[in-house]
Amino acid sequence: MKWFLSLGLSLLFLPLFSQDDAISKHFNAYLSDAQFKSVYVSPKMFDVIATSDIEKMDPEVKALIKKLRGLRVLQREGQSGVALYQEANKKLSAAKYDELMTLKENGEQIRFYTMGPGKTVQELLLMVAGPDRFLMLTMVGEIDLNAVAKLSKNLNLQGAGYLDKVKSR
Amino acid sequence: MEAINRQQIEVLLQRYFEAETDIQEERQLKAYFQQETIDPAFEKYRNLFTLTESDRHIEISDDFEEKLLASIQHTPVVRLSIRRVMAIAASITLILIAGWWGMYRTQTDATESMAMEDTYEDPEEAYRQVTAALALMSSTMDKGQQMTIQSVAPAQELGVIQMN
Repeated sequence: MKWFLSLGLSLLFLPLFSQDDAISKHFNAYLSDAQFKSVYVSPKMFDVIATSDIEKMDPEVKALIKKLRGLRVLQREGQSGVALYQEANKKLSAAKYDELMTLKENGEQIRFYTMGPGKTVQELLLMVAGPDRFLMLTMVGEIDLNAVAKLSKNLNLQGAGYLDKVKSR
Repeated sequence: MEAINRQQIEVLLQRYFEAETDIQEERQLKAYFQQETIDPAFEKYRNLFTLTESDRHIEISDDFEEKLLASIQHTPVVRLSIRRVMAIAASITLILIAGWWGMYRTQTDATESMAMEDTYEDPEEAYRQVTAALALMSSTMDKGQQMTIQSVAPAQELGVIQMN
């Protein structure tokens, strides 16, 4: 009877053991919604990237990637993202995410959320909402916020060009 | 025997009902009633002498005894020990849990398997995506910090905050 009880209990709690990012936990429904595009890079793929010898890999990016365990992007274009932004803000603050930074740019609302204490967080989430788009991207792992902030000064990377690269599944 | 008449039958019947007839007489009666046409007054007695004849053909089937015994025998009483009851309850619970689990899995599987699937198979593509995401986050953070500086700029004019 003991083995039976333990089996039952482990079955019940199994979903709780898998640690996930905010999108898969709180915005799961949108992943199967055809209006949304999504991207996922798994921990396994991060291992592959970290050990592969990709040319011109920036050492700072590499150092960050080594400590990442997942990247997920959720994007919808062609309609206002404001309602979704408000809904997401409610969900994230209810889920004990900390607001890191909020800004407005070109009529778009942008907000960063983190999970975990200190300057090295377990999750960093960026949400952008404008009149014709909604974008949410989140990274999990051990993320040094200072290292992320420094990147753009050292690398001349264009984050805006990123959006064109988001592929549909 | 053919010459048997109405009166004689009446006498014989009377004797028959009083159980005084002998075999010879009963045969006479039987023979009489087996005729197609008889006196209508005796018609009501016909069954008494003809049914017995047809009844003779009824036989019991070979397995009659078996059937009878089977119906008489009691069905065995199943005695359940507590251990057995527990075992049955446990297996029913297990089946229920398995069923619930199976339903839960099939419901979430579709979204979950899709959600857990790598978008890129090529590590270089994935790398570009990750780099782009980092760049977007970094540049946005940078903008945020610059905006904060801009927003405090008027304060600087008032000499409250010293900026480099």
